[in-house]
Amino acid sequence: MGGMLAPLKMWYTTVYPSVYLRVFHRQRIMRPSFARRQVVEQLISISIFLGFGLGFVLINLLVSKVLRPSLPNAEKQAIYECGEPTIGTSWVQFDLRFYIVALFYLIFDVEVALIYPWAAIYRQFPTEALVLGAPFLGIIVIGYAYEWYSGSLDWVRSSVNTSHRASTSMDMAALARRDPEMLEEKAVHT
Amino acid sequence: MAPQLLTSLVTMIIAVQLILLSCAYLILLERKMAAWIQNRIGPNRVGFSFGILPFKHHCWGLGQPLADGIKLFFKEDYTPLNVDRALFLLAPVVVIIPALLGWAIIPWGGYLQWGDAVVNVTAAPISIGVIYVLAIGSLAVYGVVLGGYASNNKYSFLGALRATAQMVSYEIPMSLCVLIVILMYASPRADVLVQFQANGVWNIFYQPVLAVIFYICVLAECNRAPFDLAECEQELVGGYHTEYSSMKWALYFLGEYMHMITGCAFFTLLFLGGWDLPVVQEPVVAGLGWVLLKSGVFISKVGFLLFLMIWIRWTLPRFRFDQLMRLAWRGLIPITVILLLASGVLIFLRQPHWTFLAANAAVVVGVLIVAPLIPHGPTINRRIPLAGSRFSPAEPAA
Repeated sequence: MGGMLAPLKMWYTTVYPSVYLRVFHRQRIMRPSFARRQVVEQLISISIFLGFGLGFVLINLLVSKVLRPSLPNAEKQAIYECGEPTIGTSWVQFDLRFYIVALFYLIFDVEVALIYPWAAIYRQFPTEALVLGAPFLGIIVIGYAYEWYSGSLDWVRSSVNTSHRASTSMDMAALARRDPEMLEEKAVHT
Repeated sequence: MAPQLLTSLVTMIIAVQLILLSCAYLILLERKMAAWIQNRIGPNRVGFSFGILPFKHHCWGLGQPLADGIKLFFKEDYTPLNVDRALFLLAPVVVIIPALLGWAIIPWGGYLQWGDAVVNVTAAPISIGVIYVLAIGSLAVYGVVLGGYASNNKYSFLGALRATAQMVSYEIPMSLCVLIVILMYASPRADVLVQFQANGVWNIFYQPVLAVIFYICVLAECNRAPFDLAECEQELVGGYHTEYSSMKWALYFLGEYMHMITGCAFFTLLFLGGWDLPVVQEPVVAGLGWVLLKSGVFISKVGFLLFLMIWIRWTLPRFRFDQLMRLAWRGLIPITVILLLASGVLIFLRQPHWTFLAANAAVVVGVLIVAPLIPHGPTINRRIPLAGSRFSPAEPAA
């Protein structure tokens, strides 16, 4: 086997001529009109697929709307929270940890989305891609290491586990007694 | 009409019908397998008579999905008074459309010889391929979060938040896995990825660790057990679809099963060689017979993965939420990043393909060695000693 490029060579020598050159050369792949027509074809296919999906959903909802009975009463229209009377709305501010997860996700996902084209051309320009890609990846790896170190990746952050450094030096017996001095010291420490 | 567009249309129509039918029967299969695993019989009474038609036999319960569907059409659909009505109606639609759209690029049967042209047996042979699936698939999280938010129910809200956090967390290792596969085969086109594997060895034999991580991510993205915290009955009633009933509820469930099938098809095309048969050398560009055979191979691989999914659901217990987040952020993401760097270096050094397998093994060994050495702070499950506790008594204050 001729190293890592063997499958790529195999692709260009076997599949590429038989599939792409045969089709595309006849249709003159180089012409922008052909590329445009291809894009239009793909868009048409996807739009039809989308139309299928929307039609399916709408037909289902409409048919069931026609068929089903509708006998609302106050009991049915109440919010179901295990039979208990609902207290207040649920549109309230909630735990900040979910927000932090969403922030991390944004950073990582933008990184990965930006790096897809890099991955696609990596085999053609390995040196340039490695030189340019390594700092880009390095930044996110360093950031990730900092997140880990600072304890942002911990899900459970009670007064015991707020941060690694603080919690290792904690007096467990004092915590058990709910010692007010100790808790204050803890708050200062973090 | 261009041959490619015509093929796309035919593939699309057949594929959509196939998905909807297989979703219905997947639910029956799930109930049956649950019954077998729990030493029960499962649904076996409903045939195709539905009380009016002159069929005598039960057909092993094969009429069950149809009967369920008819029942759901006739169910009353009541909307609670306090919900956000527009979003409440929109949410199930937003769940189901991305699940369906993800199917567009699945390469069913390779290349078809159509007269003197060669066409792709795919609903939409688009050039960005697998990236499109990721982009569309991550839209599904909106359906979940909208449903939970619009319901104005504490259980729904918490379930939706959990589902969102879980889906976005597992999205990252999933997209990193796809990135590594693109790095290996230098193209995001679905048919090219499959054809590479058909020419050589299936990707799962080069990158087994990556395949396992990807499968875990697919499970988490579909909110399947052991990652179904968004709808765990003991804690959250029904999770984000507590307030839904009738057809909207059915759309949520259909969306979940469609996501399962999409995820398994995605796994098949990235790791299991798509339409490739293990021993037989099939022609690259083939007639209709070969295309049908290749589609059959693809569908059976997807079916096996779905079987595995159901098996896992009824075997493994559910994760706790902090374990779930820890697995994603401290387990899967570092491992995939290390694999990405290793793959990049190996490709740069032009090493043969089997070195990926060696790299995977090295990563597993490395993780097993390094993981205990990483300072990970106090154990989350540590019992805080309490005065008077039976389990971890504390010494009273001196």
